[in-house]
This record gives sequence, structure tokens and C-alpha cells, in this order.
Amino acid sequence: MISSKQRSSLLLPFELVEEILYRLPFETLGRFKSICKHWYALINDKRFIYKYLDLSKERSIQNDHETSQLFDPETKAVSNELHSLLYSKMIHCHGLLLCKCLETLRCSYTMKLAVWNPILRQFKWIKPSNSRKFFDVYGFGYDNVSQIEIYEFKSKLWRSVDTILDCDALRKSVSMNGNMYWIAQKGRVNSEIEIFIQSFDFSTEMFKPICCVPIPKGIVSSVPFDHKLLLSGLGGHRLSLFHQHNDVEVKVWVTSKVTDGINVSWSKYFNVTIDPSILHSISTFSIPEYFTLKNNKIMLLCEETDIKKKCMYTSIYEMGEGEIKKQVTMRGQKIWCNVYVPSLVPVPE
Amino acid sequence: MSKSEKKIVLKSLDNEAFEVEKAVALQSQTIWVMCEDKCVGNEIPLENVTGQILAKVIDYCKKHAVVDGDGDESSEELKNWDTEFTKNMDQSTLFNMILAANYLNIKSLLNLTCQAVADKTKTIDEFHTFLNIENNFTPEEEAQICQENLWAFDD
Repeated sequence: MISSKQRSSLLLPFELVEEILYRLPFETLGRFKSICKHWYALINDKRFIYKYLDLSKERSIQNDHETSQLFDPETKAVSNELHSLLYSKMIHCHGLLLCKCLETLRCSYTMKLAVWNPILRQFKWIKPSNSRKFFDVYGFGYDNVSQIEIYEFKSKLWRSVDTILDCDALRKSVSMNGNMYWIAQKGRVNSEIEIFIQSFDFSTEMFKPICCVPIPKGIVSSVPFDHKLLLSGLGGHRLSLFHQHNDVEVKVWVTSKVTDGINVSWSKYFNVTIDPSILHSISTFSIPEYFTLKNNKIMLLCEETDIKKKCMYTSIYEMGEGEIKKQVTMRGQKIWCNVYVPSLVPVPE
Repeated sequence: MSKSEKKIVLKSLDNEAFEVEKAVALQSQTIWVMCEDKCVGNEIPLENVTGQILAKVIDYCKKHAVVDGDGDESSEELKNWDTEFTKNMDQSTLFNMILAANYLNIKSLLNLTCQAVADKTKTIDEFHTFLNIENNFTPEEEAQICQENLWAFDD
């Protein structure tokens, strides 16, 4: 009589084995490349890589000067430490991160750009444009044929883009579905400030204002530092806006589908009041990151300071209507947080 | 609609008959198409599925037919039920469930069972055994691939 294991080995056609492979963790998949030639070719195949990406769940990535860690909001698991560099800002797209890196040399800072896949440990410097400036704004996305390209908007030296950007500042950003979205500001501080969502479409290479933010006009202009505005994506088609007033009142909004391109509107996701004794972290100086969950909740990643012990650490909070729950505290000061989807997409040559 | 029209009989490979609510059975796209085409009467022969597996598939469909469409709490409950459902299945049963879900075209069940196999399979050796795959790399080639993918071998 044959054992059940032996029998099962004869059962599954390859397309169903492939379905199982899509659901394996990325580390396991990397190891499975050495199983046989057929699998090696499959796991390196572009079609497989992108379908795997589609089925991957959102995590967050936290960096300090030396290490990175991934956090899974569903299982609340924190990954092993990955190697990292000093980044000041990252934008995520398809498991690749566009990183703005600071390099110190003889007491002066130089800004450098790199594309990084932390999972595959692939890293590539991008030769910066000659006319770069310290405060240049970068976007990261892809056009319809899903070839990743990078543009610098201000210097227009890599490849000039014939589009007009009508705003005075671009603040928090998110890359979603290959396009960039920013919280944009028109008008100077202490005057009539207009805050709206600005997009850049990598297919048409055009800037487009999407919609105003759901905050009464005039409020932000009067006391800009009492308001904190953060942006994140939801399900690949919608934007989410986090508005914190006076460190206490938090309102989260989500848009209708921005990909439809017409009449984008906001609806309330939830409101919550922060008890300062629980959460001292989201103070004026720390800029947290968050991601939007489907069940009217968010995960907020922020820096916290323990004044008595004189140390800093990173905490992750789940927030929903009227509730805040601490999930995880991580050692060390993981300054830069970002939403991240582990992927096998290689860094472009 | 009379009471009998609401029910449908599913007949397994080994001639076991199951009478189920139509709403339960129609989660299978395959059965849906068969009913729509009116090519069958009230009894549907399923030639690729044994009675033992079909009973489990029906359990799954019953659970999902009742709870679907309710609020958040029940979706949480459903998730727990799904976990329990596959937890104690051995590899052979899981593979048969995958085949049945694929044949009957029940997407959520296919997803659930494939995920269960993925969750239970952690080592290369396990996959070699389960899938009867022969390693056709030379030792040198294998070493080179491992070198290229060092990131996957950290523990």
C-alpha cells in the first residue's frame, strides 16, 4: 500500500502547484528557486513576480541607521533585521523604494538617490541630475507598460517633462497604482492657504489637482503648526488623509476612487480623541507614518520618547472610531517608516 | 418556487448522493453553469470528486452561504471557522480539496486550501516529497543559485 504522502505527490497539476507558490512567504520562495530548473525559471518570470506582488499584503518598513524591520499588521509579527543605510525619505512602489539618502562628508551633507529592494538586497545608486538642489521633490511610479522610470521634476535635466505644476509646496506623498499623489499647498504661511491633493500621472506625464482636502478653509492658514496632515493609500484606488489638530483631535478621511478621475469626494473614516497620557509620541516634532486598513482602522507608526530613561523607540498603534490600541514597541529609533509590500521585483538595470 | 426546486442533489464519483440547498451548491461556478444550461435535472453527477471530499466541500459551502453578507463580526468568525476547517487536514486531503475546488470552481475555497498548503510547507525537502520533484540542477548550479539568493537563507 502506498502512503498518503506518496499518493498526493502524483495528484496536483502544475498550474495548481503555482497557486500554492503564490501564497508562500517571500523567504521560502527564494529558497525554492533551487528546487529544479522549471521552478527557477518560473520564480524569475515577470508574470509570476507581478502576480505574486498582487497577492502580497501590505506591511510597513522601519529604518534606523543600520537596520530595517518589516511589520505585518495582520499577524503583528516583526521580521528579522535587514541591512539598511541612512535614508531621510522613501517612496514605495512595487516593493521597490526610492530613497533619498544623506551622506556626510567633512561636515557637509550631500543628498544622493537610490533604488532599493530590501528583500532581494538589491541596491542601485541613481546618478543625480547636475542641477539638483537639497529640497527637490521626487516621485516614483511607472507608466502603463509598467516600465519603471524616474524623473526629477524641478531640474528637468534627466528628461524634461512638459507639464506645469501650479502650487507652492508639495508635502506628504504616496505612490499608488503607478501615480504619485501629494498634499500640495498654494499660498504662503499666514496668508490664505489652499491645501489640495496634487497628482502626477506617469503615463500622460501630467500634473493634475485631484480635490481639496476636507478641512475648513482658513483653519490651517491661521495656525499651520497645530495641524498635522498625512497621506496614505487604501486598496490601490483610494487615498486616505490623516488630520491631527492640537495633538489631540484625529480625523481620518478616505476618498472615492481616484482612478476614475472624476469628482473625487471625501467621506469620514473615523474620529478619535487622543488621551495625551497614553500617547505622548505624536508630538510636534515627530512626523508619523500610517497605513489604512480596510475595516475603518489605521496603523500609525511613530517615534516615542521616554524622558526618564532618555531613550527613543518606535511604537505601532491601531486606531479606529474612538479607540487607540498599542500593538508593538520596537527597540531603537526607527526614524523612517513607510508602507511596504515585500516583492521579488528586481531593481531595474 | 416549490420546495423541491430549491434543493439539488449532488452525486459523487463513488455514487454518494448529497441533497443540498441550491443557494449552497451555486457557490460552485461549475454547478451554476450546469444548472443554467439546464443540461441536467435535479441531480448533478460530479465525476471528479469522492464522497468523502464532497462532504467537506458541502460543509464549507453551507457555512459560507449562511454567513456571507453580514457585518464585521461574522467575517471574523468565518475566518476562524476557515482556519479550523483546514487545520487538521492531512496533505492528501488538502490536495484533493484543491483539486475539487478547482474542478467545482469555488475561488474562495481554492484560495483557502492553497494557502493552507503554503502555510504548512516550510522546507524544500517537504516540497520535494509532496510534489515528487526531481532536482535537475548540478551541485555547482545549485550552489550558485543559493549564493545569488542568500537573502532567503537567513534565519
